[in-house]
Amino acid sequence: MLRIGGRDYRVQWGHVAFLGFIALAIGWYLLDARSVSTSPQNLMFIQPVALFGLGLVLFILPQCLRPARHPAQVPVEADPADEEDEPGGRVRVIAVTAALGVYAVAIPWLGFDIATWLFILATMAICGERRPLHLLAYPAITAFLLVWGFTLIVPFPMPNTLL
Amino acid sequence: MTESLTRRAALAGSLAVLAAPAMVAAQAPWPTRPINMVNPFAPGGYTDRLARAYAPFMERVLGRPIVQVSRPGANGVLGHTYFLQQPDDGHTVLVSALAPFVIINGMFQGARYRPEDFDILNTPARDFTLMATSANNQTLTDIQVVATRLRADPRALSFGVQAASADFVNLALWLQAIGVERSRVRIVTYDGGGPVRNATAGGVVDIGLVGGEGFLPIRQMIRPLLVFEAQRRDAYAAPTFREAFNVQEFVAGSQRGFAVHATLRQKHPDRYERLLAAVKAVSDDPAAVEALARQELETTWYGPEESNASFRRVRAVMETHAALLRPA
Amino acid sequence: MDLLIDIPAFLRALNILATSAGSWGWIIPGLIIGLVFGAMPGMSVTMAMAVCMPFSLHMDFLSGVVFLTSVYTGAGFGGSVPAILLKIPGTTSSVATTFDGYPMAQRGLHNEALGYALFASTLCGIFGYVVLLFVVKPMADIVLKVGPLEMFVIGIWGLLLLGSLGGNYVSRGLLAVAFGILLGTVGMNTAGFIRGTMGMPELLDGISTVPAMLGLLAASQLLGMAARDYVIRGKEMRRISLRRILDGCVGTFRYTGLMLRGSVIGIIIGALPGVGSSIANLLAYADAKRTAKDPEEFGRGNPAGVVASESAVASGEGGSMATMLALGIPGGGATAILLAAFMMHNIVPGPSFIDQQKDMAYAIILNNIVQGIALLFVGVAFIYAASTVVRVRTRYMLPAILAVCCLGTYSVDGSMAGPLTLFVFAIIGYLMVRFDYPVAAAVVGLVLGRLLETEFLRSMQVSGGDLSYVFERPAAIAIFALMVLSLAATAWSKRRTRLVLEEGRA
Repeated sequence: MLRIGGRDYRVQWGHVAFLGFIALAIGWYLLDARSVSTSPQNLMFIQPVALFGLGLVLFILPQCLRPARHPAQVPVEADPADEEDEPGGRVRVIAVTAALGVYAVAIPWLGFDIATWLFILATMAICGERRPLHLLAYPAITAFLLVWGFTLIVPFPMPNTLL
Repeated sequence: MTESLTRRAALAGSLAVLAAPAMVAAQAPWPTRPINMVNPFAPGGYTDRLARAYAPFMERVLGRPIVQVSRPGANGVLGHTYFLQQPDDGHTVLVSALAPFVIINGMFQGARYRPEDFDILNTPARDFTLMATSANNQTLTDIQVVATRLRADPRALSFGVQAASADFVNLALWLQAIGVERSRVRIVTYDGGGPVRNATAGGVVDIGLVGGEGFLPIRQMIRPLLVFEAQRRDAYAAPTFREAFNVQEFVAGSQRGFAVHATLRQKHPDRYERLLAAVKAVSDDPAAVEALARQELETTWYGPEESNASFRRVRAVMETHAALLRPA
Repeated sequence: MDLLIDIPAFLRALNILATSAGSWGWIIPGLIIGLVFGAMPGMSVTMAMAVCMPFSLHMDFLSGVVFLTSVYTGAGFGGSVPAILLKIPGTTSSVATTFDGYPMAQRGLHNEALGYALFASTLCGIFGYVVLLFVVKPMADIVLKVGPLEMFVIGIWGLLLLGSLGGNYVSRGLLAVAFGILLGTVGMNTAGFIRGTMGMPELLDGISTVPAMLGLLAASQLLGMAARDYVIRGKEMRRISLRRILDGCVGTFRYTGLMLRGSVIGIIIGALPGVGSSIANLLAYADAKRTAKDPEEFGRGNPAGVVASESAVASGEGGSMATMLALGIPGGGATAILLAAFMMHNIVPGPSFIDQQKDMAYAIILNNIVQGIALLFVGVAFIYAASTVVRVRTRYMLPAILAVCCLGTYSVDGSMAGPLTLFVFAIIGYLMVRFDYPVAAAVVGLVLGRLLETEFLRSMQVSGGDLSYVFERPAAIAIFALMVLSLAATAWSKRRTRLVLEEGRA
């Protein structure tokens, strides 16, 4: 809760952080480009776009404040998981996202075959599969077929541990 | 990781054996497994076609299949880096436009390797910078007209060229020779040779400077003005830089061919010789020469000494003119 | 006589096709391989053709070309299947297809949507080749004259689409697109300056579009599926019906005007070297929405949106084949591989090929028309099979598809940067959706960013900063005038509609 000019506001801190990230990214990119060269052939296009973007961040920032007095007007935050979903839907989405991150990072260490197998296993479990036979068979078969198929057709070497 | 490579290669190998029954199998002790040929440029380009055309003939000599590995991107930096990361045991060969890309990669693109890391077997395909205008351009009839127009007004004509390329150095050297300030000339930069050719043939830029070999299929759409070569080229009726402006110094065009790790010659002299013999066999085999010529591919044998020396010459000129090449 | 068909050569072409019946057998396998590759997120048309090229070398010339162009034709449509069913475009050319295709699927109209997409794509593809038959050479000459200013104006036209991408806040939409454009310019620009790569050579060519796009869209959609048991909620809506697919196919004929306009856009953009059908797809959608009587219906599952965006994809194939056959210039990755396959059979496309081997050029074009007709049938079977995905529980389907995305992004250039890019952009996409930023706007910016910078810079270079250069480029003025006129006309007609409505109410 924030009090400005005698009115209470709710702050969407997540949104503020997201805007901060965007501003940081744009600002860093602009500075990086300027450190390479200030020649118009380098900056002519990206500098105006970057400044426009930074201006927009400032413009949007007040939108993170919502008057607390009218709770009815506060729009429901959009979320990839919405109200019609299964119970615990949002937790599942976050867990799958985390699994994807671990998968992407783990591929060079475990190889595509093992990493894919573990990822499919984990995601299945997160999505609610509990039957041991299914958890045993499906990830192994699917990972094998996918990785083997890609290994055959992709013109690059595929880092694998077993295949 | 290596295990998967061999399995994959072995599979490709068995396919290749089926496809080429004439191949002499396992005559010599080395190589005992397939050779990977790394191409750092896009599939379908000159180096890709060269590699695929050489492969069957080299396989006959080596007795092992050759597996094409495509690693394009970032002007060859990704593929060159990948090649150098492979063990220097002769099982990985590079096919690339070594000059000028290996040199440019280090000079401008922050590549962590040096030209000394590569040992060239042969660069059969040697290109040259061609300065040309659209065949529809009625006014620019020859190179002296172009020079005169530009001396009178440096902004009179626009030039299309690839940024940070051998062609760019040649443009700078030529402008120096005719006494025109480069920063005042309208230079339009492109990301590749192909777009420069399109822009030149279509008259989008008044004049283009780009490798001449690539112009052959559309040669009737352009008028050649100047070749940056020691001798005139049969395909193009244009004077050389030296004839027209009495300047000796220029950068040779792309030199495309085959290379191995610089350490291979010391570590495994026998393997080096086998690979060298396989590359040379293509140039010596009239049937191979004819087959490649029909695909507009070169097979000239220059040998490792001359190929490496030529590569070093390009490097010396480019390093002398590094300042000219930096984007302004 | 370039404009009319050379009749003797045409008859010889028919003869070639009749006497080389063996080559016809390659059409169906080629189409199926293309469809499968196109439908796999991350696998591109170029990839499909690069994989198939070595096999084509063992065939005779016509068989090899038939096989490769069939893969090309199949992959052109394949990308639309996951775009409609899962909102993840299989290739960069089906981004706009998701805008209306996915909402249709969510309403249980996936059968119809796929039918619309198949027929729009394929009929326009056939139309593209028929046009090509007549104008292969003059078109190629025009293509070469297109300069940077014209290209820049085309890029701006694509950006105008953003006005119609919606979202609840204009400011957030603009920030999303500015962010996307900047992401699209990372790497080495056309003048040789290197920005934002953090010293990683993988970024010299820019952020890889396919993994970034998949990440952004996957987050907004695919990850969200973890919360549901099935892609489509209602049980009775998940039915797969051949009759309803065919209904969609037939329904396409109600949109002949849209298809014609989309085809023209597709053919022109496809013919321009280095632009590609990803932009044609967006332009055709934008054009359809802007000129529609009910623009607010777009984005909510309007079949017209599906038809329009699909109409510009396959027709572009004809355009890029024109450039390749007549000039020997590859317009993109797929035609570069086709060109290499030609040369490996000792045939060099270009002006002399068109002059001297016109019969062979006609034979290739005619065969592509036949491929289009075959795709109408193969495609129906394929979408019938592929739509079973909506009947699979997400616990089986989601992990497999996410794994395919990761493997696919690796296969783009064989770099571990692919899966990591996918993940980073998935997080960004997740946050964008959460705070109500239109993800599609960022994707469009990403696709157009590099083109806009490059062509703007070249326009300045070629003109030397002199504005009078604009008057030397009548084509650019014409495109621009057309754009302004169409915008003005739309605004005017909307105003009129509103006035009429208000009068009606009063």
